[in-house]
Amino acid sequence: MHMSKDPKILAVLCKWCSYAGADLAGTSRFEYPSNIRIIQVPCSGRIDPLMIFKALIDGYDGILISGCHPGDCHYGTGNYFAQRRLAIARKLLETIGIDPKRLFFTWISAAEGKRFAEICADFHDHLLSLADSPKALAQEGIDR
Amino acid sequence: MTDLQTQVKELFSNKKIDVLLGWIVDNNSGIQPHLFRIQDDISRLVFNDQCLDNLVTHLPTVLKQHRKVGIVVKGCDGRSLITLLAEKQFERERIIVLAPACNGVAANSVKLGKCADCATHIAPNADYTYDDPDTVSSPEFKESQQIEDLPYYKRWKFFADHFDRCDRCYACRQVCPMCYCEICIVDQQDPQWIDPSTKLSANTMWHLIRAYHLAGRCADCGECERICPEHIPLRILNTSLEKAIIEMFKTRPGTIPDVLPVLVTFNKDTDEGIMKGA
Repeated sequence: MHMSKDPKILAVLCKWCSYAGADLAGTSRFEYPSNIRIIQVPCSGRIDPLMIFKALIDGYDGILISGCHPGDCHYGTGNYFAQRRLAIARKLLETIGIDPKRLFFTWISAAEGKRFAEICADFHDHLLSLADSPKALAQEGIDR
Repeated sequence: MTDLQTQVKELFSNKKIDVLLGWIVDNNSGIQPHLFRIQDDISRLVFNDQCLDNLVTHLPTVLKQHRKVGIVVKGCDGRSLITLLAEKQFERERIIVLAPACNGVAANSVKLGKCADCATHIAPNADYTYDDPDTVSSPEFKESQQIEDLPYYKRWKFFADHFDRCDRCYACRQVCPMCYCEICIVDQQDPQWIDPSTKLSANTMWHLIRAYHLAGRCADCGECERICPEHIPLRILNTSLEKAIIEMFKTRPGTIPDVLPVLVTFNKDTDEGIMKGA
């Protein structure tokens, strides 16, 4: 069974690389799916897995998270912490039966506008191929 | 008089400890946790397979009132103690750890599920140890493996049925030695991340957060599951993360003293690829 509606995607991007990358995608007029909502955070190390769980429970179908490439973090180490945290968060989602592929983690630099657009399109297509997210989560969600 | 009792008597008379956290045997109520003082009857101090509680939970409170504290720990309790020490919750010099060998505990003569996954029969980092433990077998994590063998929708059905029953009494938090935050995220009002109502989505949020905050720290003492009035299998969440951490980082939480929990540290070289397939 495939998804019955257009997926809603939340992107959480770090201020220094990935958000600038998304900005470049815009100014360069690359096309990417419009059902993506972007939140800017100071650093990928700022991302509390709480945000991911909350977004999924509030009805988002997929979460795209991106930080600076390893070694490029503006604060030195934030993205390394993020990497470990998200790996465990994915595992937890998997255990309770939410497809871990709904959480996508990557590195996008400020120069990779084209890549940002491609990743968004791929992730969007990928979510379309998944089954609906667990009903109880989506139905009771606030943002539906 | 057992070795443990003799040792405790000696520690009291040498003024090495002010109080002792241990188990007392009582004709009416069976075996109960107890804070022994110097004037108490040490011959009532016991350690056997009915000593279920994790006394480490009470340690931060007791250390607020007493200078030097002795504590009797099982293997799993000892592992939670190691994590608390690594997180600098109190000084190692202020506690004396007495670790009798534990070969599993039983409630109503049924051996607890956690004991099957136990590889620590004697607390690491102990000052005094007693008796010989059984041979240690490597943990199998059978319960979480059973869940992981199911397809996603069946897993969610399993957990949704359980989470739906949750009363949000927070007994799992109160009994956990790792939950020592002064303001728990679930009590935080502004912003209120976790809906306090008992609907399924809010309960799911709470259980995800609870399990996540214990990732890499949980010593699998199983108190949350034992205490849960609705019998929610909370250990499955904890052990599945523990299993993942053993696979990813090749370390079991709470087994090596003075090592920080995996989520508050990182290793540039070995972490490469842990998000692979994302």
